[in-house]
Amino acid sequence: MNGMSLPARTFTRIIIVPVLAFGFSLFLHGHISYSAGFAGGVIIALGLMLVMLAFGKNELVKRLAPPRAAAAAGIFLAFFLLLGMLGIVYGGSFLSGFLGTGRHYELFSSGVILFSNIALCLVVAGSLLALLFSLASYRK
Amino acid sequence: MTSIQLLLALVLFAAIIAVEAKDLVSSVIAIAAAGFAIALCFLILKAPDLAVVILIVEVLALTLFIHATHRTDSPAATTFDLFSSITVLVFALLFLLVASRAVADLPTFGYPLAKNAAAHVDEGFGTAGTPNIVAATALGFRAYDTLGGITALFLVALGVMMLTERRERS
Repeated sequence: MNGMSLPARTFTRIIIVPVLAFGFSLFLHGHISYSAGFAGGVIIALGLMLVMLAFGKNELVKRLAPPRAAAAAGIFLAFFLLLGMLGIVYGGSFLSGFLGTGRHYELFSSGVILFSNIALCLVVAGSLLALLFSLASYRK
Repeated sequence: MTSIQLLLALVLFAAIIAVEAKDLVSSVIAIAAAGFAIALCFLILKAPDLAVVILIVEVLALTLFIHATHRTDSPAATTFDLFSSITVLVFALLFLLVASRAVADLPTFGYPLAKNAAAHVDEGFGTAGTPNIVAATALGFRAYDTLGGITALFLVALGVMMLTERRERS
């Protein structure tokens, strides 16, 4: 599969930056606006899948192979667990909020939820990318 | 309320089309139409977070299903069978009988039986510090559930990777 036609490639070039920016804004800012990290992770994975469909799977899968994406997902899953362990040490119970809440509606206003939101989003993005890319490169 | 009932009728119609369509691509598109109508229902019920998630997951599922079915253009073989038709009819009637009894016992819409969710809604802004109640519940009060969910997703990705890897080698 060598990608799509020229209009589809041009449209992908235009649309990919807003799509990725929307995904990043969801997982960096979503806990104080309107959506949690799951949607952000799926949006990032879908944007990269759009690139894969438009430009062919060879280049992107070579750079972001499924083992690498799964390794990134595992690292951020371990980061989520580490946040839970820090909750035991400083807050008293597993996964408890130990950072304290600042002023409302600010970026660092919700303690540990910001970091666990980032970890959740990247675990979802890495897992879905590993799944999709390994399914796409299944039939040579 | 009537718009929700119209959307639910659309969902039922799309589901019947998805079962009865002759080729697989039509039924995949009908399934996607049902999913988008459900997302609109959540938007009307003032749950935009859930609507966003369902929209995105429907797009993902539509892409995967079309990728899986657009080459195998095999029509579903449906022949009329008297025994299975009668069985389906009997079980559908039984289900409707039981469901009509069960629906009468449900609590009124908007007044749930579970009282601890009200505490999450009331204390979420103060305790967790996020104005987004969904994020406060998913990552604060119910963080165990989120941890289990993303662990399951990670394990699914690892399993698919392992299966496809082994098939390539042999």
